[in-house]
Amino acid sequence: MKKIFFYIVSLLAVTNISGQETIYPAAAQKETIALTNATIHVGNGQVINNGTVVLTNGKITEVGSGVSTSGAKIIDCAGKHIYPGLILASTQLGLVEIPSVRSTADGSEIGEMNASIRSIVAYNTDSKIINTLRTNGILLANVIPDGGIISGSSSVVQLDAWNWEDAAYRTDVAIHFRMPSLLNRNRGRGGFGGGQQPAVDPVKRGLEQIENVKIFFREAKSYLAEGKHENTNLKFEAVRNLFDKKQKLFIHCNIVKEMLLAVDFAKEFDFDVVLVGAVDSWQIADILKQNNIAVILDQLHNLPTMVDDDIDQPFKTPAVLQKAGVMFTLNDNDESARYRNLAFNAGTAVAYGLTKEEALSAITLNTANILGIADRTGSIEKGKDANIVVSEGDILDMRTNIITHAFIQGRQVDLNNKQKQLAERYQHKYGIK
Amino acid sequence: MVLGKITYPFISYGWEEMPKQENILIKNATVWTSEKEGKLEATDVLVKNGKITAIGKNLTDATAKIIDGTGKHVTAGIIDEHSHIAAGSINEGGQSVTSEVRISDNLNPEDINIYRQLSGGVTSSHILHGSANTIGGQTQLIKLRWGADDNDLKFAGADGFIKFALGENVKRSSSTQGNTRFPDTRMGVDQVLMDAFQRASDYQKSWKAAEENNKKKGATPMTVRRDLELDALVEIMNKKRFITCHSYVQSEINAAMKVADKFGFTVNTFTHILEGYKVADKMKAHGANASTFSDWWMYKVEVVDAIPQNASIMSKVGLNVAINSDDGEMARRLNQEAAKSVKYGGMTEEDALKMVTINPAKMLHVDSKVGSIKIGKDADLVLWSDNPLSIYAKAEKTIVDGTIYFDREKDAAMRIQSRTERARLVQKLAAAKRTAGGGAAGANFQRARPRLEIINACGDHNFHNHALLAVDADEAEENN
Repeated sequence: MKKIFFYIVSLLAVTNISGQETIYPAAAQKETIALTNATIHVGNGQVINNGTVVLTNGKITEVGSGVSTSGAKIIDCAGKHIYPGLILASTQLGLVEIPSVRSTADGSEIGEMNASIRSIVAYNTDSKIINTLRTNGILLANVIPDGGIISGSSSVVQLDAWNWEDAAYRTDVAIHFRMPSLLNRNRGRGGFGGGQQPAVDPVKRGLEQIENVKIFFREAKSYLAEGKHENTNLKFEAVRNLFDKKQKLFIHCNIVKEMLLAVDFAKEFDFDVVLVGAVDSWQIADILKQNNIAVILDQLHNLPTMVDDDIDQPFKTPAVLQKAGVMFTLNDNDESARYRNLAFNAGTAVAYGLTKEEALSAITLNTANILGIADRTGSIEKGKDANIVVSEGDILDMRTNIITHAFIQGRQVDLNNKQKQLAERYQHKYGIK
Repeated sequence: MVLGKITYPFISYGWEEMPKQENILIKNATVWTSEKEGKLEATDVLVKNGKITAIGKNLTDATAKIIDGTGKHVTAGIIDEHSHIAAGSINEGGQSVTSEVRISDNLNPEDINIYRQLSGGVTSSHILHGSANTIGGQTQLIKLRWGADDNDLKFAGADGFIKFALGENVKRSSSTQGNTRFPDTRMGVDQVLMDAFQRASDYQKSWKAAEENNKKKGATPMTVRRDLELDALVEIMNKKRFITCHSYVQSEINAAMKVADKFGFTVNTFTHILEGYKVADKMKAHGANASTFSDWWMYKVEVVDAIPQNASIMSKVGLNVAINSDDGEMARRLNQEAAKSVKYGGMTEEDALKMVTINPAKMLHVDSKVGSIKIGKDADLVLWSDNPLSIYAKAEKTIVDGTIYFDREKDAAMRIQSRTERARLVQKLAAAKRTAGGGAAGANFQRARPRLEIINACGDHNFHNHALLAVDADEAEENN
């Protein structure tokens, strides 16, 4: 009976009679799996031709050419390419379902100093978007809170889970500081009209707010240095791990002035600082390198800042950072395509100066490094979690990014999604394939 | 006093001297014709007097500038069916039917995005009104002749089009003040259309009656007050003006076609049309074209069922399908947006390219002039570094009417020119500040402020980043 039931369930899964609700998170890996005869892109720059990856109990146990596959279920990947699961470095996936509908948005809290806010508790594993990312090779994401000046902490999730506890891959990896803009920009239209001067000098106001953040951290430091407290301060407690460097400070900022102030935070408090956004980071790559500041470039597919900037500046910024030796990752935070084009942002960076393997590192191993999970994922190396995608061809090019298999912690992920199901529904209607 | 050089247009990347039409022979390239000839390897293309005059092997022409296309690819220039660049403003939001207003009256030839989009191989853009109104206004097809004035940007001899819109934006669902204007529902949008065409129909009847009457000898002359709003709608009913209709969900698409059927016209194009795959058979029966996004979804309720297989399903049902941008940034990657149908829908590469070349040309009624590489057509061509559907492809040269408007080598020189001019102006500012009294209160010296770049869009784009200094037109209005 059990067998028959299992048979019916599998049949449903294969024929997509039901909706996304029956795309189940996979059970723990039981059987050893060997992916054979593939081109393996390790994630650290190396490429192994005609190689094999063996996955056992959720871990990568063998990588290379000519490794033993005895006892393993063989998946022949001849002609295919194997990559580490791609990682979104900074996203509101699972917090904001439909950005224009307020009741579906749990991404942005009220208040300026919300250090104790935690994104993980609101992460919705049933978001319809998640499965469309897996189909494009994305298997992990750092889910970030927005709003205010100190927005709270982000956590890394894996994208095949029943609930947020299952999804949690590493919690509270970073505190997010949204630096007030120091852009001295006019209000209103700039096109024909030219705009008006702002009522309050934004630079002056911004600097005051930034000073307040420093005061917050100085007070937190004093508070944390004390052994006992009569009254517990949740906000100060929330940044304890920053001072221990068990957590990083992600500073969201873009222009040079702002980034230089961000470097000050690294210096004064000895924090591990990561810049998010960092549109103009190409102008100070050397300074970022000297101060060991990492960068998350938010979205490559963007226009240049200024009319007189090089027209392809955003596309070539990664190559500038790479050359300067800055630790950086590429991110996709496009709220229209909903983050699925991460690999193609990296592909564009290749057209403008990175090598393909450097671009791959920028969405896998570098990201894992920045998120503090490189000991567990980000590359296809023995001992790491089996977070792996198999693609028909080059994953960075949309013509060949066709994901045939994905594994998260060795569990084979169902690659169906709501969109495939809708396509099938209407292909059925028209009698087309 | 030292003045800067005058450039066309007078901003960065303006030309000191306008580029000229040339005879050009591209040798030994892979030529994607977007015609039944398909993709031709090791082929030459000859351009003379702004037209394509020969396609073949071993062509020669003593008057032509030779461009070596070895290892490179040539396609027809990309055509963007839905764009808002080069426009001063796009929404006349006072009422829901504004068929009288015209984009041609407020083109902005100084929009840097004209030049940036040339760098992505775009040669023609259909500039539309926004989607605040059920009937937004008369559109303007332009060619990206960077440096030309507003009149010379216009695509000569093209049919007139008009922008319609349905759904959330027309209902003003996202308005922060709430909506107080009719319509507030899709039911209301339907009636706005019914009412508009009923009025136009009656208007046309009164004109005809007046004409009949005035032909009669001795009759008291009748006059009808001319109504510019209704004139444009009468043109639609007489098939002299054609609709591109912003639309998303199946109910509204269906309803709009019923209105058109009743008044005897066809909705030429449904644009955006993210649920087109649900009613593709009905659209085909009606005779509509479809112009869509490749992979956008889930940023508002009317796009929760949008799927990236949309373009390929509509194509398989037999519709003429284009991929559009509606976006100042994405337009320069339209070749790659088209390529996504290879991934999601299993479309062939040649068919995918057609979605940004000959297919939009057909739906804009200009396929006799542009959209493919064919003898006699306008020489609107792109020379690509790689397979044009590849993420790695860069447009090296973009040619409009036989004039090279974008050249990656020349662009490198213009960057230096732009930087030099910027440095000169900064020095000048600094010197003014140092002058006695220059930096004092009340003097003429002001701190430099960057100019914001207004990005016009259908109001769907608050979720797509553009650039640090870019603001959505709606946001700019609110800030004012």
